[in-house]
Amino acid sequence: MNQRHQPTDHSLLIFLLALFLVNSPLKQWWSGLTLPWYAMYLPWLLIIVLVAVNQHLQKRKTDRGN
Amino acid sequence: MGIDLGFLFFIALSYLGLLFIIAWCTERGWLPDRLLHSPLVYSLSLGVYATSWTYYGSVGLADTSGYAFLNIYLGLTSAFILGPYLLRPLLRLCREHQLTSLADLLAFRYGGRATGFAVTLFMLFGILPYISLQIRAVTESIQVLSQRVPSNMLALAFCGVITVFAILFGARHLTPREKHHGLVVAIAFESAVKLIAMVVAGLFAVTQVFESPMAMSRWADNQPGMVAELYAPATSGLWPTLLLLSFCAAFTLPRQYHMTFTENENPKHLNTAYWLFPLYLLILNLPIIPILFAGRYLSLSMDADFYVLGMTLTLGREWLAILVFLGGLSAASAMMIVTTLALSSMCMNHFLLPAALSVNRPRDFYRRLLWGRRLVISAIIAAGYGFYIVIELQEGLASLGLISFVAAAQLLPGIIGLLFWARATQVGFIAGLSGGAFVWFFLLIVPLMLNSFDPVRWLALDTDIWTLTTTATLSINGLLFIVGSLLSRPTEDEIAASQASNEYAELASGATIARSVIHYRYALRQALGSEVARDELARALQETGIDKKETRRSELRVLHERLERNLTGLLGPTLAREILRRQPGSHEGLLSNTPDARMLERRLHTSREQMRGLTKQLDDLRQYLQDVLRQLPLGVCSISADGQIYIWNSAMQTLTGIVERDAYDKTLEQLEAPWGPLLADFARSSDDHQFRLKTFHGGRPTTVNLHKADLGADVGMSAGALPGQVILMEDRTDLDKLEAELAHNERLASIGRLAAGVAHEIGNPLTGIASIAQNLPDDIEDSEQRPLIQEQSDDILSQVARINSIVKSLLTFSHADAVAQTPYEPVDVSQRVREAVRLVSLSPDTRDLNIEIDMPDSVLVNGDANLLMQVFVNLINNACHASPAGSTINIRGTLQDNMLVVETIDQGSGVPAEIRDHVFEPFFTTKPVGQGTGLGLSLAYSIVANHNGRLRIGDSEVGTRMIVTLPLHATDS
Repeated sequence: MNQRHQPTDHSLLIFLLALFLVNSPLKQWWSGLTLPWYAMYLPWLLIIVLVAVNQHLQKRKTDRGN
Repeated sequence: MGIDLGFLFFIALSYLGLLFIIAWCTERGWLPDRLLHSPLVYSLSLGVYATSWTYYGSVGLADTSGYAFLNIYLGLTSAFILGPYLLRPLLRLCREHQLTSLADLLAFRYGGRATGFAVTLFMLFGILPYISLQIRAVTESIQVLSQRVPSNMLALAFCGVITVFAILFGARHLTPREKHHGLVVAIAFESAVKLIAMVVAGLFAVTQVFESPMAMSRWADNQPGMVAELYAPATSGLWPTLLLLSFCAAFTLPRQYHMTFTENENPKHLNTAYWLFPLYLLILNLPIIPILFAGRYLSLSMDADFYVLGMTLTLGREWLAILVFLGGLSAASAMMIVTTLALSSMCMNHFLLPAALSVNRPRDFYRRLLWGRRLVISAIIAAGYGFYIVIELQEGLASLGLISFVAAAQLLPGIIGLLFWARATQVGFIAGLSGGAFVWFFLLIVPLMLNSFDPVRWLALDTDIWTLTTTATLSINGLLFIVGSLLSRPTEDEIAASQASNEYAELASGATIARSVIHYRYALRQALGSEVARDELARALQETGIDKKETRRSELRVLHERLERNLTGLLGPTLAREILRRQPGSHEGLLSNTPDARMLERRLHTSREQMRGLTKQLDDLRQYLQDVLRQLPLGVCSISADGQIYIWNSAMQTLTGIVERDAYDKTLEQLEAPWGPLLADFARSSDDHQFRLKTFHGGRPTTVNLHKADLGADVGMSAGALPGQVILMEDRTDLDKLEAELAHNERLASIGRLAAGVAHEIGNPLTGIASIAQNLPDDIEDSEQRPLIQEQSDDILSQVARINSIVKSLLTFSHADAVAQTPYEPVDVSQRVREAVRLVSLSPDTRDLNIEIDMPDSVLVNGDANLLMQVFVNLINNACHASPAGSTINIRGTLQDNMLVVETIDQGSGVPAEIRDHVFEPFFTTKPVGQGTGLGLSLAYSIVANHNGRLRIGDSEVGTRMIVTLPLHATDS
């Protein structure tokens, strides 16, 4: 893969994970479960945390690179 | 029981007044910079996404479609996760090319007026219902709170205040060079108010309506299938549809584009927004389900959209109702203000300005432009109000919002083409947009007007209207876009824009540029009037540092680009391009067919931050090699195949006095004499090397060696530029001088050796002559002749003594270096000077002279006492010979930086400037023939030099000032 994509590779992975959780055949399974009302927010929060960590790592890498 | 209508009006007016104060304080710089320029404010300002639809309508959508409502935010979160691929390139384009709106962005890529016009027109149609929705949300919330139908005057007053705010704080500056900080902070404040109000309402629902979270969960679990119903739509078609629509909304809604890109003051803030903005949306949506539960629990008899207000009123919490109302007011006003600003920019650049500028050349252009924008803002809000008055909509808040979302999504194929498909053309874009817009109008707007028409039932499909319209519009749009693009050829502008859209693409090469700066001035004056022409040209010249007399192609290209960017910020990309092409003789304009190396370097420089891994290492290597070339202590000049200078390193600048900026992109012939003709002749000649070329530069003769080599085709850049030649220039001037000095010294040394040999050979016969001459009178028997012979003998002896003196001097001179090899010891120079004065004073020539000594006591230097005394004897002797009778000779000693400085100053005629360089040479004398050997000063010079010192002639107004500098003995220093 092109080097320019390296810092955003994690973004792509997180995007795919989000897509898998929210809009894949997996939803057939979890929509049938008896989930508490707030369960829908948990994967969303997880994705946000992953994005934040990814950005933090990228910033550290950039700072070190400079 | 409702809240008083007048009181609500007062509260709303006060709140909007507070917004004015916040924006005003920000513009005045009264808020701390740290807060003002923080990524938090930027991320919060993106909260303009959450309109009254989100604020009120999410509960309604959750009521009918369960958790599908969350996809309106999950899709947007996905767009922010993909920010480095999607948002970052758009931000770069927007900043680099000053593209202030979606229409500008798409018109930039799909050149020509039609693109901007079509996008603006469609966005106006698509977004106007959304603006009217905000007005409706505010009036309906007032109706819920006051339980009275508010008059249209109230909606009108609300629109009036929003118009004034948008004009005052959103149309302060004409160009995106200056950001609207007041507006951004006010929008961020409104986002914070929305969040606080919604969170407080959620907490109220959980703790006051249900008493505790556990109680709420128990109640929900006891409602058969209620929670399961929330999750059920996950398997419906609506689920991915809403995801896709909100994904597109992140960059296709005018207000999102405006806040994310146009008002972004620091690209790094986007990195924080990637997670902070989705987090904001998550917290904002967390209370939606508890509020829905509370509404159902309280069995509120109202539209679910307004459960949040009904819940607070039912339990008699007026303060909370007002807080929630203010949150809704924030959502509506922020959306209206930002959307109006974005649309006004589109309308100005793609409707009004093209029409106005084609009619006549405006006077007072800037003022008219600003007022034009303000009028457009008023007109758009008025149109939104008119839509609200005229169209009686029965749809829910979410439905009206989604109509606009589907409209905005029609720009998706265009944006994808812009970012990833170089082959996309204007024909394809317009065809796709027209097709999508037509289907959108037929499936979504027609049913609004004809309530009997239901497209889903008409088509007998088993799906919802949003899935149908989204699928149908985007399919037709995308298909026409692809087919249209493939059936047409991209224009030169489109190719250039496509290359500019991809920061890693090759540089665009097809810009037509003028022949001189004056041509640009003429073009601007023709289109925009002399005031704008003067200001814009001066700004561009200042920003690029280009001289107004510049005629070089590369510099004019830089100026062209800068002008185009600045004008794009002012007038949009289409008009900017058209105006800059109107230069007189544009047909004869210079067509730049090859990528400009300087542009390439600028591009690399701006992209450095994004470089990683191998790319960065290669760029580091490139910079290293460039530094090597720049700092090479040898003049380096490279010329391209068409004869233009590309490299002109620092040694070349020092050598020739021509700075890189003046040399770059010129031909060798255009350089000033003597270098231009010299280098051009060499470049043309068949010789690869030329040595010792003499020229005259900077008032002194200069000698250079020149070398050249042809650069092979393999050195050329990928796009075909640059072979040519590299020329090296070596400055030999100092080297030649040094070589001449060495040869001179060698000659002097030979003379010294010759003199020593001659002296030795003369010495023996001279002794014989002296003996014979001395005995001659004694050998004469004739007493009469003896006096005469005695006299002649004395003359012979006198001349022999003179020859002997010369011979001794020659021997001393020739042995000076050898003597210097003996080990040195501390010598008191003051004492040697006084002794030298005493010796010289014995000579009858010094009787009428006054010698004054001012030496520090006991100054020690390392050396040979006799040799040092010889130095001072010679210097004082010379001073005595040069001084007129009765004058004074001063001998002064001082200590300076571990050195002893002894000056001998006479009051004679001095040393003429023209012979100063020769006085220390052996056998050089100004004395009459026979009175001096010319070895005294030369000998003194050698002795001082051998003592690591220096003998020189100082400046003096009268007489001669000889200066001896000697290093002090270590303990003295």
